[in-house]
Amino acid sequence: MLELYALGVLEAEEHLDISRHLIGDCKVCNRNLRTAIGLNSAILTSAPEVAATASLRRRVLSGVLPQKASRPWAWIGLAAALAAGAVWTGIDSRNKAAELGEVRREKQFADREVERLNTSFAFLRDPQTRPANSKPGATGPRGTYFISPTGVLLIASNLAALDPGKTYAMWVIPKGQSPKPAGLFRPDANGTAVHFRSEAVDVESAQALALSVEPEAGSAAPTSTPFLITPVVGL
Amino acid sequence: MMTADTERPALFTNVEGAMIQAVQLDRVRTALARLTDRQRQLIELAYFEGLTQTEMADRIQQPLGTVKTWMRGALKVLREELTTPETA
Repeated sequence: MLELYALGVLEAEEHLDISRHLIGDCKVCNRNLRTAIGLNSAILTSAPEVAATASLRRRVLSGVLPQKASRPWAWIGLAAALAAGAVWTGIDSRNKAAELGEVRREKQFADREVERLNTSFAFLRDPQTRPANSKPGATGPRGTYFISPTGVLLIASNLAALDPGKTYAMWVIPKGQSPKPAGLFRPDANGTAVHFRSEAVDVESAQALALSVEPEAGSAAPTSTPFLITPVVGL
Repeated sequence: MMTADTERPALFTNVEGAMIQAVQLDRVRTALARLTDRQRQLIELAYFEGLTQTEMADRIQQPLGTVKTWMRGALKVLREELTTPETA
């Protein structure tokens, strides 16, 4: 009955017998007492879970009165229940902190990616930067197209600022056919643009890619002279 | 696992401790489920109302000897469930 002894709910005579025995430094009983205390702790910290009914909780709380100082067990039980509540609150706070930490890490990663892209664009805007297959000192818009059966990507720089109501249009020009529209875009303040058109492309029949300046809503066919015309190298 | 050294306070201050506490709660629930209704009632009266066995006997209108027998049985079950190593 060491558990009841540790709880302080043994009858007075039994309590005294055990106390005398423990004072005698019985190693086995002292070890068993520590085990009993551990078991009590486990049961008491499960108080929010195993407190069977609301009426039981009311009885426990209403029974905790200052004049019952001779029954410190009541405070122990209540303290343990409050401690258990604090543990659950702490667990929830820790979960939220962990989620916030994860969001921060994702934002930091995204920030690094944006920084990397900005650095790339700055490199593109540098007047000394040119496609490796073009001559140094070339002026005017510069750009490189990438093409696959699933779309077309353009990375361009040195694009002129547009008048209001105007936009750039990308075109895929099939062999022996009219140019087909491949999306509209506007460059940033530095004249840099990354334009990606995600759609099926018949790469084998594509002859060239080009840009033109069009009205803001776009058009079915180029209404201005195409530029940055790049042939598509066939298979 | 409850051992003679497991007398740490119920409050944990880290995530690992919270996980251990959750496992421990589960073990307590399992242990209490093994008790009879009478045994469980006596455990609640002792742990959550702080009654002595004499007071319990008076509360539930049973002989003191009967209460002591039930309580001994309840604590035996709880010790078996909560003070033996968990198996893998």
